[in-house]
Formats: sequence, structure tokens, C-alpha cells
Amino acid sequence: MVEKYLEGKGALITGGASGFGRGVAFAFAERGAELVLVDIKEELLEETCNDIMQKTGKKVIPVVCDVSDSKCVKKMADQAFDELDNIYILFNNAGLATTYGVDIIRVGEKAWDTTMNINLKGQWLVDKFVARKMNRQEFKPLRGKIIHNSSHYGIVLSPFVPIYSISKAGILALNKLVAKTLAPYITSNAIAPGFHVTGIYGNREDIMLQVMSDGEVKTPLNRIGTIEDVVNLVLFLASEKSDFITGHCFPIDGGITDVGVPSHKLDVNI
Amino acid sequence: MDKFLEGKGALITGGASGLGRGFAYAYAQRGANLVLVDINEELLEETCKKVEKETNQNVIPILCDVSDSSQVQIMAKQAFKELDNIYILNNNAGGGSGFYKDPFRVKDELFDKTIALNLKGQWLVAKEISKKMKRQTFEPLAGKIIHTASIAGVKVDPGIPVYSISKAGVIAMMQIIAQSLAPRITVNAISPGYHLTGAYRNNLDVMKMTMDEGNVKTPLNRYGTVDDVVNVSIFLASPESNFITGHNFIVDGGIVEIGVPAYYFKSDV
Repeated sequence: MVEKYLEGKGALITGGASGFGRGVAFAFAERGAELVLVDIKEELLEETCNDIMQKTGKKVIPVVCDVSDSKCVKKMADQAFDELDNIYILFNNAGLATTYGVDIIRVGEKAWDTTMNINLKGQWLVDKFVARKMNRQEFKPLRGKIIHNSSHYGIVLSPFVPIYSISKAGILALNKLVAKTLAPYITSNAIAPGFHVTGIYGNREDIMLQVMSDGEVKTPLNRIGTIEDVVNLVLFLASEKSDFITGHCFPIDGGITDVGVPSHKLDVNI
Repeated sequence: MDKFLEGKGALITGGASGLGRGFAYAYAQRGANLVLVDINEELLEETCKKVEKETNQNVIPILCDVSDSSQVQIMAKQAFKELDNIYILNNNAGGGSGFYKDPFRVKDELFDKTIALNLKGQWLVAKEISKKMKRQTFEPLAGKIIHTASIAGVKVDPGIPVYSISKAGVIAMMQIIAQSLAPRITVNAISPGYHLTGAYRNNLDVMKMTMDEGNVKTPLNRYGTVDDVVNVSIFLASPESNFITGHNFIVDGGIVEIGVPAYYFKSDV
């Protein structure tokens, strides 16, 4: 029996139809939250929303939206706050990876634009439109909490996924600016997942293991990550136990970033 | 309350007061039996009795100066004799060494004493406790270590020069130990900012003055409490943080990363 510390509060999750977004959505609903799930994949979104509603009895509102489109995001935020006037948690999570293995000098302009627009601009647009309304809420001591999904790639910058890395590094900067701007009533923090089997690896563990091997990654805690690992950290960041933390980035990667060997590509003898 | 520490022991250095005492209560309320280590005998006895009374858990006091390696060896031996299941170590004992406008005015003896207590002390305790912790058969982890560092170790506070150096050392030490004890034991640090404890004689005015003297600006616009730090340690002691190691958790209302940490110099530009 989990403590329902999100009872009476709403949560908005982008990229909520699958992967981390879906995992977090279930966990929040189990702890009493009502949800707005935002995704670009309509069918998957409907399915996930129905699933959660059925299993938890909580209200789950689907909103289809391309987060790189400012008109869409504005409309989404308006709708979200119409349906739920108590959105206390924003899990800014939607993102994608494109061309794997193409280095920064060779990668194409289209890949740059798509990746940066969805991953970085998308999180900024969602922050922009959701935070405005969140700021008008009367929860105390905080009016809301924002959690940005970055990536360990945003800290260590892998040559295998250069644009993705830059977009995720950008999210760390965005996180700090949002934290500075919205203090003291709204906290903003980022998470940096490592290697977890989700849609970004086509939901295939073998593909992810290949990627880790390509990059000669070494994980101190000697196992691959799960969606649950990330959900557990997000739950901490959504709870009042983390209320005095803002502007911070939390790696959740078995120690790779802080004390392990991150993905690298060096053809050297020394 | 989720008693996730039922059947597990926790050892806290500097457990008689301040943050250590806060950790003690929190863990006991969640089912842990405790060993509290401190140099202050009276305060230690008092805290142990209080925690035992209020939580009904076993709380064992061990007097020890953590900067003394033979005392630490004896302490570790006794601790594991009393509790054969020490799963959490809060490497927390430490102290300040006064306020200095000029770092070179710090006397030799004070330099040595501060490093011995804050830095070497945590080394000795980690060394002796992890030896035995390693052999435990808990799954998936054999134990979890949490070092109390400080924001002064992240962004040096020139008013407390040797303290800052010792705490920067603690963060480095934490990462070395994390690498060394992986994958069976996770090791992380908490860096508190300004929280009302005995470090400020439990006097808010003293803490306020210290922060004003350093021109500190706290984005979350309030003073830190012991609970702020304890709450993060609860997460670090729980299975929810099992995939995190080698990380320094900054809990300071945003000062060091997006605020203004202490500075004392004058400049026109």
C-alpha cells in the first residue's frame, strides 16, 4: 500500500504514452494524482490512458500534441489546465533520438533541426506554457515542481549520438534557467538516465547492449537500468522530500557518469 | 510509514546531535536498529535513550573519536558485534574550524585537526565499516554508504577555508569509495547548505549573520532545516536509490548551482 502523497494534485507528463513517461504516469496515479498525458502517438496514448484509468481508477486525460509546435503546446496547456486546475508536477519527458553512429561533422541539417526542435525547443515550449499557469496556483509551500528528462549523454556527450547529446546538454542549461526564474515557488530539476530499454532502442535489449558495447561503456553497478529505476527517482523529485533541491541534475545510470566509463569513440594507443 | 529498514541496522557517526540525530530518528521510525557514534558522551547517551523511547528500536551508543584509527577499529568491531546487519552507514561526523578572513592565519594545529576529523575520520570509518559490510548477504546490495559533505566542498567558502578543503576532499573520497565498493555497495554524498544545527549554536540569528556576512543568496528564499537533509538521506537509504552511486546530492535551496554562494572580496567590476 503506497502513500498517496499526490492525492488532490494533478500531473502533466509529455511523452506519456510509453517508456519512462508511462511508468511515471502509473506511479503517480497509484499515489493519488490525476493525470494529463501528452504524446504524439494517438493510438498508444489512448491505450495507455485507458490502461491506467482501469488499473488505478484515477482520471487520465490524453492530449495529442507535437511539442515542437508552439501553437500545439499552447493549446495543450490551455486544455490541460481546463480539465485539471491543480497541475502540481510537470514531467517534461518527450524526446527522440535520430541518426545513430553519424558523427557531428557528418550529420545532416534535417537531423539537427528535428532533434533540437523536439528535444530542446519542445521542453522549453512546454515549460513556458505550463509554468505560467502553474505559477498562479495556490499550493504551499511550493506551487509546483518541474522535472526535466535529460540524459547521461547530455553530461558526457557521445560521438555516436551527437545531436541528441547536444539537445540533452541544452536541457541541463534550460533546467538551471527555469530553476533560477521560477524560484522560490516552483522547483526545477533534471534527471539523466543511462541505459534503460525503452522505445529509443526499439524496446530491444540486444540493440541497447550493442550500443553500450560500441561505446565501450563501463557501468560500476554492473547491470542495465530499468524503467523502474527512473520512476523511483522521479517519485522522489515529485515528493515533498526534495522540496529544498532546485537546479540540480541527478544521474540515474548505475554510476556511469560520476564514477564509471561513459560512451566514447577513440582510436588511440595512448 | 513504510518500514523499509525493518531487519536492518544503521550506523551514524556524529549521531548525538544535528543532522546525525535527525538521521537516527528517521531510520528508527522506519524499522532500523541503530549504532550511534559520537565524541560527546552525555549528548550521545541522551539521544540514544530518547530515540529508543520514542521509536522502540534498539539504539546502541559507542563513544569514539573518528580521527583516531585505533578507536575507529574498536568501534567497528563493537558495532558489528552488537548489530550483525549494518546496512546503512551515514559517515556524518565533522565540524567547523572557525571563521577566517585570511586563510593563512589558520594555525598548523587547527589545519591538522580539521582535516583529521572531517576528511581522515570519514576515511577511517568507511574503511573499517565497509570491510564487514562487504561480507553481508543482503540482496541486491550488501549496504549503502552516505557521506555528509557540504556545499563548501562544491564551491569553496573562503571564510571557512580548511573546512571547505576538507569537504571537497570528502566528495572526492566518496567517488573513490564508490568505484571501489561497486557493485555491491552504493556510495553517495549529501552536500547541505545552511541548516540550523549546533554548527550555528542552534541560533537562527547566528546562521543568518553568517549568510549575510557572505552575501549569500538562496533561490528558494528560506533557511534550511535538519529535515531538508534528513529527507534526502531517507531516499538514499531506501531501495528507490539503488541504481545511483558516486553522486553528490546538493541540498541547499539552490545556492551553489543557481544562487550566490558565500564571497567576501570587494570589487568594483
